[in-house]
Amino acid sequence: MNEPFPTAQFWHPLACLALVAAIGHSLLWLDAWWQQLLALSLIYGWLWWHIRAAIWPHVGLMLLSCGLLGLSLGLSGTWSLALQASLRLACLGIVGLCLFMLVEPSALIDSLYQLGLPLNLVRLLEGSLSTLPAMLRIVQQTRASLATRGMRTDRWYLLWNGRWLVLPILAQALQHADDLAEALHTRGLSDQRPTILQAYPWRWQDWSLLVLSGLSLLIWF
Amino acid sequence: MSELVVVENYRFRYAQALVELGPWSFGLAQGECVLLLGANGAGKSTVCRLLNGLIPYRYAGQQTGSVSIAGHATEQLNSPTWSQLVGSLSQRPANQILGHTVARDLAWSLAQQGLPRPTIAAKVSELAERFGLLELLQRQPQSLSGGEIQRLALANLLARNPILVVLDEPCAALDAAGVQLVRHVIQQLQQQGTTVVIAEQRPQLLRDLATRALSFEKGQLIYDGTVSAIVQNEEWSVVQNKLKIKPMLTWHKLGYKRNQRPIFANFSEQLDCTQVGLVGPNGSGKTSLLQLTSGVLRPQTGWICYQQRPINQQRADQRATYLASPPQDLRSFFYRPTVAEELTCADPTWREQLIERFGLAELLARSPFQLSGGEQRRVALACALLHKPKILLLDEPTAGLDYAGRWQLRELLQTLAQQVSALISSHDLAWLASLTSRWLRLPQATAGA
Repeated sequence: MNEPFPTAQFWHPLACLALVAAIGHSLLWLDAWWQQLLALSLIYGWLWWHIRAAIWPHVGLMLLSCGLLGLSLGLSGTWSLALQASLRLACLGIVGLCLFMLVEPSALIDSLYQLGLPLNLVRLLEGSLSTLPAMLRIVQQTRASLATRGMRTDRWYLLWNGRWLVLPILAQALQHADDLAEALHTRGLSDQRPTILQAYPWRWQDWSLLVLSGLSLLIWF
Repeated sequence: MSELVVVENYRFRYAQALVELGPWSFGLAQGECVLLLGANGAGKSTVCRLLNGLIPYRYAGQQTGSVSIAGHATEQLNSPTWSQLVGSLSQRPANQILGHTVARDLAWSLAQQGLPRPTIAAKVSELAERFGLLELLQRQPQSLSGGEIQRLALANLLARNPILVVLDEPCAALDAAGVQLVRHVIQQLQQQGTTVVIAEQRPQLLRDLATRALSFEKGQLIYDGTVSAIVQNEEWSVVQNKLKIKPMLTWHKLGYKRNQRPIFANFSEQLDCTQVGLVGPNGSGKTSLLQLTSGVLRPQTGWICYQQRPINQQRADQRATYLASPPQDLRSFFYRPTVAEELTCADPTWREQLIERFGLAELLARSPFQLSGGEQRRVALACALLHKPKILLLDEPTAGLDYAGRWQLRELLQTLAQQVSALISSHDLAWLASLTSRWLRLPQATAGA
């Protein structure tokens, strides 16, 4: 019989989480803007080779949002602050990308349950992780629908037509939240800890990664 | 048979609603299969929500009377206990998915009960085998077709062995094989002695399984009795006249793969200046063909021609000048706050004509997101016609519409027959046969090969 819950994780999910935290922390504490820009370019370039192409329009959308935020802050205040804010937002984006590249969401949730974190905290994270693919699907569907109505939202057209995405995405996101709450109720969300479907043992390489990540965090402090 | 569910003098008013639903008094015996009938807004979904606990846990409102399930008064049932007693399938089963893979989704409810891992693994494997999901266990649910999602949702229903099962339009947008699966599951549930409650807009599909019908109108229970007395057996006539007219759309040796799975290989067909039905089992590529034609998807090989000119290189927004394609799920289609703004058009006379023809005058000030399914479909169709397209691509336009709504839509499309060609994908074969003179049939898996 096939194992229904196999693991494709090479590293322990929590060791990966520590690594991602270290990367994010290091990026955020780089002093000069050019250092941050250089680090971001290197990591994005590396990711470009390793992530499936379907995600890149969304990454583009995220980077464009960072740019727009910077532009609006720059026009209303100081440009150095604007640059810093948009670079930091891009850093947060890259941290999320790295996390999803290194860790399967279900593996992360299992290991957080295994760690014994408070039930509500893990549930909150579980809900957020399940919302992300749904949101990507909503954005994709909305852009496709608008395209069939003659409205482009790709490339630079997003700057002008992007505002028309807001209302349908917001309406669908609210609807999704409702649907999620209904599904949780009808499918039996319990107030006890669920069964852990895949337990992850700590091996020497996981400990090594954890220690290295911890050390890099200490160095940056 | 003992009474499993007892509803006594129950009334409910949704928060901020003016109309009160009820009073309803009925009982459901163990092992009964009950059809809920009525037009959109009659109260069927409210009964489903009342039984599966979404009222009062998700929908606030004023309620009087009493409801009990298996001897428990519902006021005393907490959410986890309620969901163990009652299994529920929503109108959009994709929204009930909670796992990151098919296996984890099947395991979700069982894990919530705290069952041991080997028990869960065995149950998941057994369900996957029964529902033909073994090959899909490690797939992400987002990548499944509509029919596969329905199979997953039905498997989930049986995972917990509930004593009462509530199905809200289980056959909407399902092909004959999908309906057969739903029927099979209902039969299995009946054999186990499970009570089944089904709200369905096409009750003919399940009439022989149901032992009783409850019919609702404007919130009132107006009929409680046998199914045969209220559900007529529809005739399933199919008309297939091939018309020899210059093709409007041509697909030539079309090839398209999704996630390395071939959807089309060397698919060749043409659409004449008529209204053509697009039929085929779930997963045969109907939605993909419509999306390839509208430009949302790009074919990997072959050509799509409009009036014998290739349009492969045109983007969706360029094709929108002659081709309109409102999607199946209209929530992504609207983007303005009011219907009036959605209907912004350079030609005010044509706009007025559309408003009159589609009966939209009363809806102009309302938000398109808050309309009923039938109203949304009418507004979407009017929006799609604003730019006077030559071709209309419709994906399951009757899904979720009641009997009156479906036939109103048919009349609207018939009035458009002289002005616009249409390719209409639907599993509602009786409705499609009454509207279209030709069908394009896509076989399973080897579509067009």
